[in-house]
Amino acid sequence: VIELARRFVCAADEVWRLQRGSEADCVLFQKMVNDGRRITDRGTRQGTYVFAPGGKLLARTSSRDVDAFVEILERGLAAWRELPDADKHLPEGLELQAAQRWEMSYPEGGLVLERIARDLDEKGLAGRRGERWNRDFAWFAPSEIVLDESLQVGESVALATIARRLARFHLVDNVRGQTLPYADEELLQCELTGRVSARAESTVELELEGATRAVAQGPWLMGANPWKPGREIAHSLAARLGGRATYDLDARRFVSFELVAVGRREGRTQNNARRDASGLVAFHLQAAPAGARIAPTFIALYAVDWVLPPGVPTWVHAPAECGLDE
Amino acid sequence: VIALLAWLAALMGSASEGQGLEALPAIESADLDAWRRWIRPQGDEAAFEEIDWIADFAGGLRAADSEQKPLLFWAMNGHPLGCT
Repeated sequence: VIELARRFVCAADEVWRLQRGSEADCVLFQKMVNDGRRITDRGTRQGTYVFAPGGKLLARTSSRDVDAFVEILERGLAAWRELPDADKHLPEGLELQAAQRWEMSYPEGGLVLERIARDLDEKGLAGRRGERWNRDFAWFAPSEIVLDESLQVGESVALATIARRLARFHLVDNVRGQTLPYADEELLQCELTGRVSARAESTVELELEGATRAVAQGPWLMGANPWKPGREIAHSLAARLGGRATYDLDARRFVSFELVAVGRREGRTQNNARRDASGLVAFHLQAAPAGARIAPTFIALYAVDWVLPPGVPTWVHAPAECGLDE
Repeated sequence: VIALLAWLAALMGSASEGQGLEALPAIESADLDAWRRWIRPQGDEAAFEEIDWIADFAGGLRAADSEQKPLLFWAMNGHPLGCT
C-alpha cells in the first residue's frame, strides 16, 4: 500500500466539516462524493477516496481490508490514466482557501503536546502490551504556560491550567475511538505540580507529579454542540501522573515536556468500539513535532479567547439550521 | 440478612477502592523511558506515517493539481492524523 501510495498525492482530513460545511472546499468535497449534489443527510462519508483535482471521484472504499484497499488504489490509477487532461486540473478560478479552520488557532510559541493513549492491563508494564492506541494533540497558548522566574531548586509550582485542560479533554479514554470530554465541574481532583530539581541560569528542570479524577454522571454540562450525547452516560477516569520538563524562564516556554499518566476508566461513552466498562489506560504526552498542526479533538470546547471558532457554520442535525437548504 | 449486608458492604468497598488513585501505579522518573516505549507506537504500528500526508483536503487538491497526480484522500470523523 505504501509503495502504491507514492504514486498519489496523499491527504487526510476530518470529515465532519467537509460533509456539513459551506466553505468552497466543503462544497467541492460534497459534490465529488455525492453525485454532484450537496450532502443533506447525516450518513457518514468516512472512507478512503481517489479524486482527480478537476472534481471527479475515481475510486472509493470504506473497507480497512488491505486487499480491498490495494484494489481501489489500482482502480484509481487506471481511471486517472484514462482521464482527459482537462479533468486533471482544478477548475479555473476556484479559491479553496478556508476562511477559518481550528488549525488557524495553533498556539505559536506555546506548548503543543502529542498525546498517545494505549490500553494497559492490571499488571502494568509487566503485563501484555495492548494493541490499540490513539492519538490526540493538546494546545496551550504562551500566556497559559508562564512560570515565576524566581523559581529555585526545591520549590514547587502548580501547573493548574495544564492540569485542568489535560484532565477535561486529553486524559480521556479514546483508545477505541472518539469519546466524551469532562466539564470543569466534573473534575473532582486535578493537580499537577512541578518541583524544581535543578536550575542553570534561566533554565529549570521540573519533576512533574499529579493526580486527576473526573466523574461525569447526570446531565451533559457543556451546552449544545456536536459532542452532546443523546442520553446521559455515566463515566469516569482517575489517573496518576508523573514526568519531567525543562522550562526556559527567559523565553517563557517549555524546552521539553514529558508526562505519563495511568488511569482507571469506568463506564462507557459513545462514538467508539469500547465494549468493557472498566480497565486501565496509559497515556504518554510529549512535545509534538514542529510540523504537527492537527487541532485537538475537543478544541471547540476549550472556551479560551485565543481559539477562534469557524466563521462559516456547519450544521449538526439538519441543513436548515444554517440556511443551507437554500 | 446480616451476611447479605456484610457482602454488599464488602462489594461496595472493593468497588470504590478499585476506582481509587491508590490502586494505580506511581509514575517513577526512572521508569519514564520504559513507559514511553510501552505506550507510543512502535515499528509497523505507525507505518502509515511513512506516507507524507498533507493535513487538509484543500491542500491535497492543490498539490494534486500542481504535481498532476491523483489525490488519495483519507477522511474520518476526527482527523486521521489525530484522534479518530
